[in-house]
Amino acid sequence: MENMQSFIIGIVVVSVTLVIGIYIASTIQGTFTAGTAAANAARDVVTALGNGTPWITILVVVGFAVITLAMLSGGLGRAADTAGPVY
Amino acid sequence: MSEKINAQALILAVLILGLTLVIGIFILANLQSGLRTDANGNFVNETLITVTETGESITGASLFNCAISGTIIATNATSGTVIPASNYTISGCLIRYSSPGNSQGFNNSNWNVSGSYTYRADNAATNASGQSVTSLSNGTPWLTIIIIVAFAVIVLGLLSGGLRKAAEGEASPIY
Repeated sequence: MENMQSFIIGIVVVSVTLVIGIYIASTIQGTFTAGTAAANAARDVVTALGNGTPWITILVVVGFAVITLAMLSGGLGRAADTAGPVY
Repeated sequence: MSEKINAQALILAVLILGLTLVIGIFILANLQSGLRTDANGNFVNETLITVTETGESITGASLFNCAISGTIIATNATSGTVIPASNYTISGCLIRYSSPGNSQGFNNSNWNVSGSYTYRADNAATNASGQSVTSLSNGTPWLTIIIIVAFAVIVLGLLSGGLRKAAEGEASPIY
């Protein structure tokens, strides 16, 4: 259960960090003259960070799938052990 | 007894999970709203089709918090007659016909309108935030699956444990 909670909190923190990072990078980009190396670099950072947000969907789906499968396999395994041998 | 404790821990965990998801979505949605920047635009001789009391929206209406600012110039698209301000009301980016008595043929006709509007513009940060909100929202249907799976595991555990005890009980000799 603690894993599930840590997982969700981690996802939320990652999302918020990404968004704030994109905001900071785009604000910095705005302070540079357009076309300069610094402005281009900041723009590339914004684009790169923006490419990270679709992965959050994948993280959420895969994470929940792993948790569900772990619950199934662990729980069914315990049930099988508890049932004991068939005479 | 351990199954009771497991069920309680499970419900508590799913509840905390759900609340964390909701709060995370709320934080990101507020970030998205707060990071939008103020912007303005113009519409020049935009044609609105059959304007009635229901109203027609300008193209910019799809933008976040679109609101027509100041006065507009509205003319009948066919005759070019200027439509007085008393013959319409503006709500956000929606223009509605209103009649002070004599519609003068303005109701249910095409209008050409010009003016300016303000809105809240999206940027890379707000797009990322919106995408994150959608991503986290994909997690909420899994809560139902987790609850069902967890309860199924608990029930199966109860069944298998109980059946085993019953089998052991029957296995003991009868005097």
